[in-house]
Amino acid sequence: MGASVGNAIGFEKGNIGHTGSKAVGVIGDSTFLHGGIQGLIDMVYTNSSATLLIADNSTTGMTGQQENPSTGKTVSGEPAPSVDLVKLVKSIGVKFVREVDPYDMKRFRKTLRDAIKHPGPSVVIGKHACLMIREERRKHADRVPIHFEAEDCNLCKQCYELGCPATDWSDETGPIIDELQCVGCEMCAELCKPGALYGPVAAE
Amino acid sequence: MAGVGGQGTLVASETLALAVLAAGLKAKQSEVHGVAQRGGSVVSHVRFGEHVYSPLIRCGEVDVLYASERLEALRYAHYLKSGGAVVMDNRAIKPIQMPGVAETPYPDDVAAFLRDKGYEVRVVPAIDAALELGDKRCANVVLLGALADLLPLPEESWQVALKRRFPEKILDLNIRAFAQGRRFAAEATTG
Repeated sequence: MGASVGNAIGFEKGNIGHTGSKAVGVIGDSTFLHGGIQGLIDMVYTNSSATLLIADNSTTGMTGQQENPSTGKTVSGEPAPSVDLVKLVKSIGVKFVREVDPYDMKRFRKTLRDAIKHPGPSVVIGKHACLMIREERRKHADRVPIHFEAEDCNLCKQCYELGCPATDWSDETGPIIDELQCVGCEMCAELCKPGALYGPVAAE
Repeated sequence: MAGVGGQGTLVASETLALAVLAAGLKAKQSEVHGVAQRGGSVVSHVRFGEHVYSPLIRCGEVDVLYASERLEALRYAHYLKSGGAVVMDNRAIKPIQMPGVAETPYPDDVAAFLRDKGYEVRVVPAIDAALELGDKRCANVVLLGALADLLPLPEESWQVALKRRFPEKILDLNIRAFAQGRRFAAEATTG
């Protein structure tokens, strides 16, 4: 709720001359506006090389998907002005600012690596509406759980390392998909080189 | 009342509190939900009677534990009084594990383990029933129907509570889910 920004600066400053490892802070769109801005000002002011990843899912997920000043709606769903996070971050003085769709995994990962390599403060805004909010669920109402063909699986574990709540793992058979939790977003299928995981379009 | 975030544990808890009020008794309900969105542990305490002072139940004083998930039943079982009752679904929702780190095995026979401890354990196939009813989301109310069998609240107060808690378009589903839960409890005690 704001702490991660200051923590990232602290880790970075504390590591100078020690492990030399990079510091990355992660925060949501809502909590960034709630308490992360101060820390980001400090990140620029102290020229920290830390990276801040703002996970912008257009909602306040943790407490039950409430609106916030970046979503364009009031708590009761009425239209409201929304803060432009890119402009805000730039106005604080961050030079390296990128907004990427995290579902474009290749591009997202590359952007994150570039941000971490960047010598000064850097911000990556991962922007994609949460799949659980009403409008998104309606938009994707026709999605079905992912298919898994065990005989094509090479046990590389890329799908499991995605960290999806619907994916469990067996060292013998590979991923175990909980169909009650799978929302059919097909991110694991995208990562699956042998094509053992696939969505309905690929199935056809 | 315990479950995993997203299972509707808190909706079930609210419905119970509403049923208590409809029955003319006092109720206090508290909940922990902040970190529970999609996958975290959710727990709610409900205390009811002629007079209720504190909303929180001390460890070892819970009469009935409602648990919509296997691990959550185990996690909160220590709150039960000696010989207390558990109404649970044996469904397992495995927590996300950190890949590459030695993983904690998910517990197997929780119901048997709890019975060995002297608790009265009723396993209800709530999620299966919900899927048969056509919507996985009403599993919480199926379990609530089974829980109702152990509580001294008249059926009318439950019906009032369901009507207050659920909007028109899903009320019928939940009334049927509740009735199914009641049937499971009746079968278990007579079977």
